[in-house]
Amino acid sequence: MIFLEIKELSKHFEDIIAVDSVSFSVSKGEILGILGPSGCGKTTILKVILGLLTPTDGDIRLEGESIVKTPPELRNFGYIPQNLALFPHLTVFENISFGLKAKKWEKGNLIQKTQSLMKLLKLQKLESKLPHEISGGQQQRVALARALAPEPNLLLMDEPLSSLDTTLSFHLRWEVRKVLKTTTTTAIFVTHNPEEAISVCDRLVLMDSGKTIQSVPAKDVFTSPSSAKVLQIMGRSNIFPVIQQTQDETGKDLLLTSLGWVPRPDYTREKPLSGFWISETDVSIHKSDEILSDDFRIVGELLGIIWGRTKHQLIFQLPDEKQLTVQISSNADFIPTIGESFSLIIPKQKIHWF
Amino acid sequence: MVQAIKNFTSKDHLVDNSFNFILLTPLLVSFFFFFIPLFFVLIDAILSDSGYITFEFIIDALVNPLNLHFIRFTLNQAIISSIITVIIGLPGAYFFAKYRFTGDRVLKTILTIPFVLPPIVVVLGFVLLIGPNGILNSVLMTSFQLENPPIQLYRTFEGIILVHAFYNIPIVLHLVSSSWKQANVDIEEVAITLGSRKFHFFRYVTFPQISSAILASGILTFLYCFTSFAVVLSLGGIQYKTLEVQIYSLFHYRYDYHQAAALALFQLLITSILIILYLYFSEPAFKREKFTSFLPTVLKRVLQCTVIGGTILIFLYFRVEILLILLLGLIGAGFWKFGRSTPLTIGEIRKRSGIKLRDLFARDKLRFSMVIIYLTSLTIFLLSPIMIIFISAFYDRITNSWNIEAFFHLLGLRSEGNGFIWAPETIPALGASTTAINLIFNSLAFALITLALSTFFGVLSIYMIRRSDFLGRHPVMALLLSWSLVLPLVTSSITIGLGMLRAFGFIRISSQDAWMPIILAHLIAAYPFVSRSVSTAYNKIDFNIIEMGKTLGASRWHIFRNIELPIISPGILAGATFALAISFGEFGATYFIARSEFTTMTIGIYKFLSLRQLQNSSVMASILILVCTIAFLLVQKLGEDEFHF
Repeated sequence: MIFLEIKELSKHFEDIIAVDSVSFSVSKGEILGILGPSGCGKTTILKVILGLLTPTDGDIRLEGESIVKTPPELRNFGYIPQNLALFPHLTVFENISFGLKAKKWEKGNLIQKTQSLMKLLKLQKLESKLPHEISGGQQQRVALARALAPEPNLLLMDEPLSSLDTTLSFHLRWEVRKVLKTTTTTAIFVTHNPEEAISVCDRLVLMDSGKTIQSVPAKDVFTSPSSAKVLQIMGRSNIFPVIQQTQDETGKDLLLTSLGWVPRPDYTREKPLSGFWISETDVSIHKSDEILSDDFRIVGELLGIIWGRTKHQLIFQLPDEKQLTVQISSNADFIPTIGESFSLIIPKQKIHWF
Repeated sequence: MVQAIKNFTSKDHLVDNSFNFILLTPLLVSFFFFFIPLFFVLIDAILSDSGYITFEFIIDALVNPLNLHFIRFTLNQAIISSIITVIIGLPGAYFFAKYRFTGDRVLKTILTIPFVLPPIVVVLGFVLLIGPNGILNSVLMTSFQLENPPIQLYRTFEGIILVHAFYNIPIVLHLVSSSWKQANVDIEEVAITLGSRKFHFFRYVTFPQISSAILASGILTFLYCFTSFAVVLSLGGIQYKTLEVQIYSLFHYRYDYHQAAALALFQLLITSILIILYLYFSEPAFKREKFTSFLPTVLKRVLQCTVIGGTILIFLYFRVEILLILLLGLIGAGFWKFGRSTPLTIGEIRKRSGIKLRDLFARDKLRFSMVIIYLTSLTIFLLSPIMIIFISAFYDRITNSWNIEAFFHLLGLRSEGNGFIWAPETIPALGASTTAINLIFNSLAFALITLALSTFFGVLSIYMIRRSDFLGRHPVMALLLSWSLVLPLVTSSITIGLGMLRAFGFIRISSQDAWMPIILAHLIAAYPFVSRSVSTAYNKIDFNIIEMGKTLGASRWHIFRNIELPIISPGILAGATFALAISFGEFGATYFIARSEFTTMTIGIYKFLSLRQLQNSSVMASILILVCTIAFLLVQKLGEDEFHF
């Protein structure tokens, strides 16, 4: 069932079009991720949904009713901005109960609700601390608890984990998802980090320059990307387009790509193909010219190595000047030498067509 | 100004470890000058003529019923003035923080001009406007055929309050609006989404963020009204005298320098406490901790109780209106309870973009018209006294005609035949051989010397402080440095005048050399502004680039000449401009010290005013307004985004 529906929403700032006729919907209890590069209009959409900005055009419907004219303080939407914006002069307890107090909750209920949230988010011992006295992860939790306290219809989060270090952010992703599911909160999670989006959200809306380019269940985003742009937003490298298409004498389709002429795989019969991507871990490097099977083989010159703690990224230049990244384990027996050419073997079934 | 003091205590990235005590010389010289007047005031207050220490003078001064009466008036008017100033100024601060329209910055700058004018000029403006023969009364009397002037504000309590409000509203406008502007937009948005509205929003979100600025502007206004001299001297008559005026009278009419010094010392005590409170409240809460970080908690509590208890005792002893004490108590309690001011904010703070006035018109006509009515009244209130001076300079009330003769006359130009001849006339009111040209020349000379000396000492001291590790880091040294800047600020001009006169009296300086104490008094008044300005400019230097210069092998001089100086030069220029304007506008100390040979323009204005030579007075004042306004605009232009007090 559709809970929140965004219909052809546009927002212009004088002559800048920040959001351009965007439509998507959120079901009850779903966590929707809006993913896109910075400056693509994610935050603007969020603010329009919150009512902090008025849309230039389009409609926002909550359970079928338009809420465009409802002032933000009456929408009962939760909001966590990028910098969290905890009230610096209020304690953790006062921060969390702020919305309840504003909505004039009865005192007993207010205390009970606040304490249950503090328990859920493991903040019990911090209730009389001020925001600058607690750690980054705890601040994150307070912001979440504060937004959840008034039992919002919808929770909107604007890159809430982006200011944390990698390890902390990793643990919090799982925790945020757990809390949202426990409280059956419908949420919109805005981020530019694909890892974060996949691990927190049920479904993703991908955006670029003010427009949506795909709406897809989070787990399917790599298997059925609508375009190379989607893969780029998801942080994929090794994306190769189909340059030309023809048929051989037997009537079989052939596609010209960076790998040369490739027969069109059978399972892609219905849809037109625009390209393919290869995972960095699926390519193997060989010194000799031998071909082991009918896998694809291409010669690449090693341009350079990005050294890492557990993995190294090797950048190869292909004959058509395109680059292919290959990942090897840092304790691999053999590390290729820069400047030399190698055979790169790609198993046929590891090529992801789209 | 106060910014400078804060900066000293917060520097931990000073780079030079090779500290040389010879470099302290300029600092010590400045210290020495500042302490001369204070030292002599102290001596007079506690040392009897026969040379033993006694508290007799202080006790006498504080039980004398006449002094009690005037201290009572001083406190009453300062409290009322600051409350009224804040009340009038707050809507304006709100407006400049929230709305924008073409020319809003220009309007804010124009509305700040009253604050930079010499007080005596402001007095003249009000006398011309609402005095018994002022323009408003004349118009009303002729329109309604009245026998007596309907507006009776001249030489009344209300009149003094009005002028003080006029003078200090810009402080509220600037301090509060800039703090309102910096209020965290994200926090406000979150509060709105959480359903916070109207009173709840103001109480929990807005007020905590601006309470410090309101308090700071209130205290600063109180400080200026408490030490008000020129305004009360001209408008108070014999009935109303501030401490400053009473000190002046005691010294000049009764030559009771012991009692004058005792009162000056008492005043210094009060202003010192006030400036500490101001420094404290103009900082966000989390920064305040550093002021008291070296004190144990018990001592902090004792201090708090002492300040509150002492204030109540002072109020009770001097029988401040009981209603005012209750009102202050109520305000204090409100700030204590609700004004927990913003400490840190996490992450970057977005700048408020402001609501366009045009959009407000489209959305809320009532509020729009309220804004327009308020702004228009405020602008008229703040600009009409200034405008009236310009008009009076060229308008002869006796012949009811416009002329520029008074102007030329004062400058010594007389029309003869087809041309002008230059023959300055002596003005008996000012002295046997004094012409208006003398006044202008004296003012200019004092201003230029003050400019040169204060800039030299200001730049040198700040440079020394900045480059020394030792000075900046040690808490006691930092405190001393703060005081070296605070002292000249809290020492009222009359106290300086008194001290200078006594000091040079002891040295038995000849009357031809009487310019020296005047210069020193001007220097003391101007120095804090120069050092503040230079210090602010120094803050813009990333100290990494100085270390960069060192690693590249540049000498200390080379670094100063090629890196620091170019970056701080706008600050130096702004400081020098401040110094010039302050010297031009200085009245209290100069009036206290000056002999007729060294009369300045501000004293000329006062004397003309006393003799009801309003046109002459206006001509002089017009020149001063121009000088001060141009100096102020120049300082603004030099990139001093926010005005410091």
